Amino acid sequence: MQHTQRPAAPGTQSQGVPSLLFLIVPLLLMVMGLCVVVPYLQTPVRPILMTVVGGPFQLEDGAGRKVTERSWPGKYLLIYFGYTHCPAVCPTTLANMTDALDRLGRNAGLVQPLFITVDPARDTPSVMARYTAMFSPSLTGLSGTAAQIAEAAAGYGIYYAPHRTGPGPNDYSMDHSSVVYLMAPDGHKAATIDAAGTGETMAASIETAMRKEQPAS
Amino acid sequence: MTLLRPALLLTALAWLPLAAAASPPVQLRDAWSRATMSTETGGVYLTIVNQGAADALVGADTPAAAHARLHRMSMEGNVMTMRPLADLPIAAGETVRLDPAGDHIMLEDMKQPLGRGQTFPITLHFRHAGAVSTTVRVGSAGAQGPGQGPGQGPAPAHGAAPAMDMSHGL
Repeated sequence: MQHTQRPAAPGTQSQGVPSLLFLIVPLLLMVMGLCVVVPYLQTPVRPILMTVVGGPFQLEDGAGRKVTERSWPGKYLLIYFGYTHCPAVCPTTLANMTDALDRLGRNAGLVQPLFITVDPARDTPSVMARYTAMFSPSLTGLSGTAAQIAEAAAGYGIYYAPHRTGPGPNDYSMDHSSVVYLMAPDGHKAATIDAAGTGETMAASIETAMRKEQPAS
Repeated sequence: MTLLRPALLLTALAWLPLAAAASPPVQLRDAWSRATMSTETGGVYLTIVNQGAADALVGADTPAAAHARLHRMSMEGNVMTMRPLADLPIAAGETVRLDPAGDHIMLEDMKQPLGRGQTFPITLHFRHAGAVSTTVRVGSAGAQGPGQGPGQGPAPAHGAAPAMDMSHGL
């Protein structure tokens, strides 16, 4: 009101205020805009991945039992693909997976860790059983025919291929995707767990995912 | 990949004038391995401290296995690959760590499976320093570092966190 009656002299505050507003208002609008836009930039990735990962599989456990993705009703499946001749990455990841489950306390009972071979020629069901026993009694190793492994790996988007290291029949290593998936009891992907993470970071990711799946508990 | 413990650096500096005569230019530390189920493959991991001129690791051998080869594990996207490595250059004054997450020595066709708590000798061959031997200690199948069991995590001095790259400082 005062401004209309008493125009301010040049250089006083009343001219400084509108020019400041010209700066502040657009800045505020930009920040508000980012708050709205950024979540949308991040979210579309998830539904796309969710529809890709997971699927039916038919494999064999160390006791020779046929198992499918439905063989552990009510449980989360913590799934990692690898092979027992892998000296470096697979043991690290499996050790961190079992460490993560130790850290989950009673929630560990809700999770079934699975190690599925991408090298069924060498990793027979009994080889897988003896191998997984070195890490944890709860870790279950799964093998199958080459076709069964291919089907399971395809369901989880796992790439694998032998790489020759010598002339002998066993002179090869396996290139393979190193990814850990947490599948919810109903079969959808609850989380992708960083396979290069420590037991601590894996446990944190698993707990976060479980809370999202079961907000009440 | 490179690290040098401060204490080691001080020791190295203090003895610099006598170093050539007093100790070999390349030293091996904290060699470890993981228990294996089969005799087909195993890994050896250790720290190479080069207090001399630029050199290269060109091979290894051990009575524990028919072959001990240099391997490089690398990740392309999320795909793990393992490839033989012809040699591993080591700069003057550099400390290089061989570990499961990168370059390592792969044992093939072992005499017996590696058992936790066992030890065995290994000799590394360097282009200039020649043969340097050390003893490998076998940890659990899921060991994460020298003298570690599963879940204990790597020892701070050898872990990824407090690494100091001193390769240009010496």
